[in-house]
Amino acid sequence: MKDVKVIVLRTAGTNCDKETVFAFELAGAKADLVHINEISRGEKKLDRYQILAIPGGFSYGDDISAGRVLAVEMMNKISAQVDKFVADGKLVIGICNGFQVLVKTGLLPGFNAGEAGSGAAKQSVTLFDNDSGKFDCRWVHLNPVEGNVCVFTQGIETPIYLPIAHGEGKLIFDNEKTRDKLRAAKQGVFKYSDAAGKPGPYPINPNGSEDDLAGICNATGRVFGLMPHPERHVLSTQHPRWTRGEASERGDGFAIFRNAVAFASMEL
Amino acid sequence: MAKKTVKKKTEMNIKIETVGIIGAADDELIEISRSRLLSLNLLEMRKIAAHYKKKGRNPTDAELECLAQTWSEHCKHKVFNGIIDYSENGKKELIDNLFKLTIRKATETIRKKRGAKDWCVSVFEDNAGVVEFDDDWHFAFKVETHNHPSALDPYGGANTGIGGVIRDPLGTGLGATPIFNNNIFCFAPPDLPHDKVPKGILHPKRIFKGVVAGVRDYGNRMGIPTINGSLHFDMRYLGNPLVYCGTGGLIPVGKMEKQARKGDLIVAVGGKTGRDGIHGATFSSLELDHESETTSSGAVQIGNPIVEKKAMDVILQARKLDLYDCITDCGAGGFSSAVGEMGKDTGAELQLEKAPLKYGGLAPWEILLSEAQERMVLSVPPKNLAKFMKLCERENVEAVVIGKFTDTKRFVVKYEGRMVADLDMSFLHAGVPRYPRPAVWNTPKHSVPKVPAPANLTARLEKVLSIYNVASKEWVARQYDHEVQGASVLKPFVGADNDGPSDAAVIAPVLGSPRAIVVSNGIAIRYGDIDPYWMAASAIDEAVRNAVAVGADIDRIAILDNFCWGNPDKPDRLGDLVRASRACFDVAVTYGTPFISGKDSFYNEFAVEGDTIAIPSTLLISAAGIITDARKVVSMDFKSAGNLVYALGVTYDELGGSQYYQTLGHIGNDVPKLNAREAKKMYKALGAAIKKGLVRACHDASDGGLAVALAECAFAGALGARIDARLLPRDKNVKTDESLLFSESNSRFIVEVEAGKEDEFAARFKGLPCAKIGEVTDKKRLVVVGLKGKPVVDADIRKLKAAWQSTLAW
Amino acid sequence: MTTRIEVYIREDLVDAAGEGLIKDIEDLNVKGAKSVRFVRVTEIEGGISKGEARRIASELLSDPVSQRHVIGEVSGPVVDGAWVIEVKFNKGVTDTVADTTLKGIADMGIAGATGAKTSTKVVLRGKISKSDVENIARRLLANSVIQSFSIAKS
Repeated sequence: MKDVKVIVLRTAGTNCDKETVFAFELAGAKADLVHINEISRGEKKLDRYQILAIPGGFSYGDDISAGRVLAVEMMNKISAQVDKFVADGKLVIGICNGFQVLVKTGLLPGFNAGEAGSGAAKQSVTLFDNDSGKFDCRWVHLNPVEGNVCVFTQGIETPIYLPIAHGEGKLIFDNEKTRDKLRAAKQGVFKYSDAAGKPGPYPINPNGSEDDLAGICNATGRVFGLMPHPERHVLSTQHPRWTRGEASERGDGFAIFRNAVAFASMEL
Repeated sequence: MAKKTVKKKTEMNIKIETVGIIGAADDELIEISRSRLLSLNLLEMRKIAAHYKKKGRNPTDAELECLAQTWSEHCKHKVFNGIIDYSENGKKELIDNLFKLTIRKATETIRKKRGAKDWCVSVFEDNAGVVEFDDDWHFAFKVETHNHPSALDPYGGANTGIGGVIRDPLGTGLGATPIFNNNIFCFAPPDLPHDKVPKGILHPKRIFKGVVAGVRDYGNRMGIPTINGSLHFDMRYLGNPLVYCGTGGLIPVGKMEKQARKGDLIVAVGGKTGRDGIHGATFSSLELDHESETTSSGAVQIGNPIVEKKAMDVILQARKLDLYDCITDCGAGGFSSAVGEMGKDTGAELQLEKAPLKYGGLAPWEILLSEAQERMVLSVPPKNLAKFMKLCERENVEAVVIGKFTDTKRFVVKYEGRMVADLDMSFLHAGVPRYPRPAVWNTPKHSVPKVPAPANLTARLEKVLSIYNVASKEWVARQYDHEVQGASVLKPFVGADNDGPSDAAVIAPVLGSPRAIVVSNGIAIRYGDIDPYWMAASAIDEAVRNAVAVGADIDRIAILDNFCWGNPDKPDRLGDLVRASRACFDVAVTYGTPFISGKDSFYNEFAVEGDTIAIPSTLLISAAGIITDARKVVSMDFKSAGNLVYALGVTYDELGGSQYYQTLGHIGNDVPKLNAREAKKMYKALGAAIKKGLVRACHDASDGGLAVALAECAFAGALGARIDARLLPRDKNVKTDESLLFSESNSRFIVEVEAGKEDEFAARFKGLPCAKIGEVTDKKRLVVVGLKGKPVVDADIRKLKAAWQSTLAW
Repeated sequence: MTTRIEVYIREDLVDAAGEGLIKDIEDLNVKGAKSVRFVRVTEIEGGISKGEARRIASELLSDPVSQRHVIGEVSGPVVDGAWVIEVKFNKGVTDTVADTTLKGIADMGIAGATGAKTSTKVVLRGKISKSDVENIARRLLANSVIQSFSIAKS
């Protein structure tokens, strides 16, 4: 297997970076923590890597709104490198705050780009204040959407169990057309559900997301974002009920990192 | 919109005042202290006047402020380290340095006894206490209080409370990486009618919500999991809510030694300096009143967690590269305290005009004393400066050289070349006078309920489950990220539906390694109304037994003390302190659990209509233990029907100070006592049984007694239980079911043991109070048979859970 | 020159902070509050062109999916007869969002901004007396230690 190199992008207010590095390394990749200034100043290059991870946290304090300021910085300062990375078919994952960033840059779901995909995509969905009105840290079940095109989640066929920790995670569309297009292109990846895969109100859908969506990908399935934290469930003792014998050796989130590394190793 | 006019205030910037204290009369000295909010008493002012008389000049404003701050109760702990003229039920004695004779002595005694096996690394010296963790890491832990600012601005106060305590481990040794936060709050009941809230006090619900939001927004943004805490309610916290915030961290072995050297540069890293928090240290030595809002608004600080996070990120990288010799945080007293402390053995010279400011118009003494947040001070050798600055610049962190360390043993402060302060380090740090304070303790007598309890106690159990002190705090805990960093092993809420109250939190902070840290706390407020000795003993026992309940080894538990008290100039408050401290010594030594760090906060009183409300004397004990294998710990929820339920520990007739009595409006007199020697034997046996895998669930009995503990085990596991209370180990004086079920006697557990392992389990408790009292059922009912052989509790566990959850389900 | 930009949540979406405040108003025992909407106000100092202000408002300060914005003095969701409470920080109090806003503006390549301030506007509908509105402002919204407030009726 070819060595897979992951860049975990950080900036002021990033956290979850160390556990994201740990999860990728557990899956066999080599992961570097890189500050965005190192990219924008040309000290490090994105194209040296096969996977870009934007971890959770509160980039720039989530001031103004979650992920907005980092999204603006990426679009204005490193967009050429990021766009090329995506155009090359490399993998991008945004977790929690990283998902908020990907949505606010328009990279997810990647609609409204100019002619033949030229130019940057425009924002068409957002992650808005939870219906509960507060930050919520709890465990949720995620039902994989049948036939979804995401390369990170292939082989996941039954609900997985991950924690969320966010205040702005309610996914909403700008209009019905976007919703229909996302459905038709199988870009919905995970839906909040109960353990059996059935949808339901709070706390099953913890934030009020439209269509119960917890994670989406772009049309190629290679850019993926989700609100829950797969990197916080790669070990058995991270499961909230491992003392009740409910955990297996690897946590449910591990498959996402394993899939990404395996795909990158073979295809990129 | 009004146009902003910018006035030039250059002349004010460099205004350095001289204060005429030489030859001043006593009433003038008192007036100087009062009008400048110095919180220095006459004795201290006289000592300063005499010192300057000898020098032949008057002090500058900055020198006076600097002395006031360094000599403040907040920094010098004058009460605890002072002389106490003590009278206990009429018996008199003189206590010279209560802290040294109790808390510190306990730790010294334990360390000496352990000898080569001592695992303490640094105690009571640095910004946090440090113990061994594994071959690569030491563990640092500190708990602070931020009460006064939180009373005025709950959000900002709590914000800066958590922000401040994070900087403590970060400023310990050469810097510890924060791995968890904990927090404990005490408020007045949130349902208090608005017209019962005196002028100048915020409504307790607003304080509650504001404090939670403040801790949430800061802690979550720092990426540090908040893993443990508790909430307590009493009317006497109306004017003075208590906000305890703690942070634990890991520091690489070999990075403990710190010493600023002559020639090292003083580098300020992080936030800019503003007028925030001026007089914070001295302010915390004042009683609040309705004027406090206006006179002390400077003491309130607003936090910016991202500035702190950025500073932390670069400091931890610089730590790895060995770029600095010494580090400390800018807390109370600002630069004055941080630099004064770092340069204690050498000397230091500051150039205040170099400090980055938020806005103009600050007098030099204000820059020196400002408690603006998010600032750390580092001592950087000149050869490393360029590398350090480059690191900061790359991550948009402000870092500025503001002076250098010298070998003059003087603390010299200049502003554009002019002398602002020139102090002898020895007078600054050792000059504060000591004098005796009177203290009194007389055993009180309280009322007890006279009406006998009803035969069926189910309704009373529901009531106890629903009161603020006992009810589920999930509404609070879920607003904190307790999973970030991925280390979580036992979460704040556990069980079949992730909603049962865990006794302690466990994290395995080095991802991939099973070595873990258990964190718990103990607090027993109402017992202090009967006897602060047993309050303190109970708080230590609760913290330790919470840790033991999940699988901690009592031989590896360290504890921290946080005393929040009323005005120590009032003899009864100080008498409480003597009683409580003595218990701390007695219990810690018997348990072998050293104090590694602590803090005290006095003057928690509020003046209202010619009277003062003092908080109840409140001692928080935080415990942290090292667990070799995280995979061996247990949670408190019942696991399977058919398993057996055991009770460990003796129940005494001890309803005094109980939550049960509180629901009936009484305090009582039979406060829970503690036999620490016996308890320790049981804790060792339980720890070994858990390690052997003989325990499926374990829960300590505390607030609400055995009845509440059993209900919690049952509904957390979504299972029922059938219990025969007649089988409980009990003292002969226990003659009623209410005493049996609701007494809060210390050192007791409910344990679930797998069917078939009973003999192996019971054999480990030979000679100790241990009894099989029933079994876990799949009936979803908790049935407890009382002393007369009939059920005294018979309830649907879902109903019990609803009673427990609905109170704080905001 | 000061450029004032107001951002508010799309009218058909739940304003969670507003809902929270309604609960707190009920706790105050004040009746009659029908709806509460929050508006975030940003005042940018310095030479900003109209085109730049539009970019700042649409790309940085507001979310095109969930929010709307207005540039200038007029506020968005104000309905006739609603109470408008504006809460501002006192001078010298840290305004972190303002600092971040300046960073974002600089990242966009806009050079003229020299300072920024944020404040919160609360639009309160319902039959409530002025003294109750003052009570709400004082007890729930502004802390006199760090903030001041003004009340107007639209």
